[in-house]
Amino acid sequence: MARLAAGSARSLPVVNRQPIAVALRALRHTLLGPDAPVERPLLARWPTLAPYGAPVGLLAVLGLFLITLTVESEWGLSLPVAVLFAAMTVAPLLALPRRPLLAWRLTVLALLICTFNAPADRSWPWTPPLALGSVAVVAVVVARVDRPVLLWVVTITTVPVLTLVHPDNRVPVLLLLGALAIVGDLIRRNQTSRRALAAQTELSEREQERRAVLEERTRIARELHDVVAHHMSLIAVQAETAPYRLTDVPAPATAEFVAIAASARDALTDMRRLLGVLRSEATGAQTAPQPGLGDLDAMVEAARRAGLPVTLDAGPVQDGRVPAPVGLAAYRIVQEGLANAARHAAGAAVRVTVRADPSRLGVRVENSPADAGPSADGGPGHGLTGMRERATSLGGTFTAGPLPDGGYAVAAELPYEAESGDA
Amino acid sequence: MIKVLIADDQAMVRQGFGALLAAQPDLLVVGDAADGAQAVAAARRLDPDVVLMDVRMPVMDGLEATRKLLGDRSAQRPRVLILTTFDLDDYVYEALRAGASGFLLKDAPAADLVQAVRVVAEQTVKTHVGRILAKLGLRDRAQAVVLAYETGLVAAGE
Repeated sequence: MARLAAGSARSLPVVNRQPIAVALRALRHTLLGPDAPVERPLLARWPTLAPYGAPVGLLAVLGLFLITLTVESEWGLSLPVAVLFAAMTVAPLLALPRRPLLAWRLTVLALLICTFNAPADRSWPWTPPLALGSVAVVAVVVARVDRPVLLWVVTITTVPVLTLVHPDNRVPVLLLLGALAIVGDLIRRNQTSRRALAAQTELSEREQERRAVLEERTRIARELHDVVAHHMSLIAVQAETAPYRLTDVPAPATAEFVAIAASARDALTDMRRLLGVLRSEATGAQTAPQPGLGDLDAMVEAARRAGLPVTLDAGPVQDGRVPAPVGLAAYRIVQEGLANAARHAAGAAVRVTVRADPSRLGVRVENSPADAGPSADGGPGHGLTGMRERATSLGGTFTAGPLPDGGYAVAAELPYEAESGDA
Repeated sequence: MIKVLIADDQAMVRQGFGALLAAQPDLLVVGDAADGAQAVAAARRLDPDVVLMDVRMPVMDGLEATRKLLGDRSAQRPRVLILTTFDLDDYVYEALRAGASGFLLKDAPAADLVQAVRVVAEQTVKTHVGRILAKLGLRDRAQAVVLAYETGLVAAGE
């Protein structure tokens, strides 16, 4: 905020020093510059009506064209001129939805030109369609251009009014013009600030999403690190203490054990350096052992107590034979799957399936259709990304998607080489 | 004889350290425990001089068990030596705050482990240090480190 204020304070004198240049630039833009970009197609808020917008609009324009043609003919214009004037009357309306500034330029031209042969006894020089159409065009364009251009638009629009309108009618027309300009300016400023807010919101959401992904990735790396470091530490302990646990270990073997322990320590030192990077975010110390397949029962039970109607169908899985990283990934995938089901399909029945064969572990979390639409949609989220990263980091596959019956399923296949079992 | 209790959820660590420490003439391994709750119960029953305490354990983690053991005013309080698998930073402060006398990486060389147990047990605190500690209401030098950190006397990395 402070920086913003400082910035505008700096830029103000520049504007004041060159008011004429600014005004001339705005005039140039008003007459020749590019049109205001279309932020949103008309009727975008009512998608069901959108397909009819163009045909209905064209029919209305055609009707106006014919009315104008009739009036102009009544005023005694030859047919080609009447057709030309009618075309000039409706052309701005055709341009209005996409090129409001162009529509306004055409309107001014029409206001200046299409006044031939107006009956002398009439108080308005223009046909009713042209007069009303002009009001519509001005009303739209004032809400689309920035302030310097707006001032020019209003100023230039007063030219045909002052020169051609009957003196009795000038004041009301000018008042109308002024009112339109003020309302248009307000609308535009409102839109601008809303758009800025929306842009900022989107930016911060994207930033948040990015951070969530990074955090999840860090968590995965850290957990994998912990699993490996755990094993590595055991190797060190086992090698270091082997000469004490075993009797009659020959001296060369003892030396060998010492070397193994030293290597394991070196590896751990390297890994700790890595962990220092990963833990740099304040994540706090983990004091519980890493969960694995053996903890699935407890998790499902906890989810059930929390009100999630979940059933666990775990085949004969020997936890000890599944490597810890695979068990951990399976646990986390089920955890995330349950959380997703609770978030997006409240009340739906959830089924967790775990199947292991000697070389791969299959995990599947599926829920029946939600009772009442998806609740609290958290966007694409990093849940699925995290699950996929866990699966692929182990060389496995991950799929997620809606089911034919309206439910949803996430499934992962995690390959592994069975461990000896006594780890 | 220094009586030692080993608390770790890994059987390999319990057996390994048990064998290693038992091989020292001045150390006696009086028991082991597979989680924090067991460790607290065993310590109260066996009255060890030193408890080797793993941090990550099921049921009750090592930090909590340490707090329980050392918060117990009535019983004879053992010295607690914290064992960690992972980097020290996360646990050191927490463990020392909980009253642990020291900490050690699990993969430390055997000699270091044995030495650490002896140091913790023997309390080779010089008299004048002991007097300062008494004045500050601290139990040992590890707690003095904690106090130094807490009062801003020293900052990490200095």
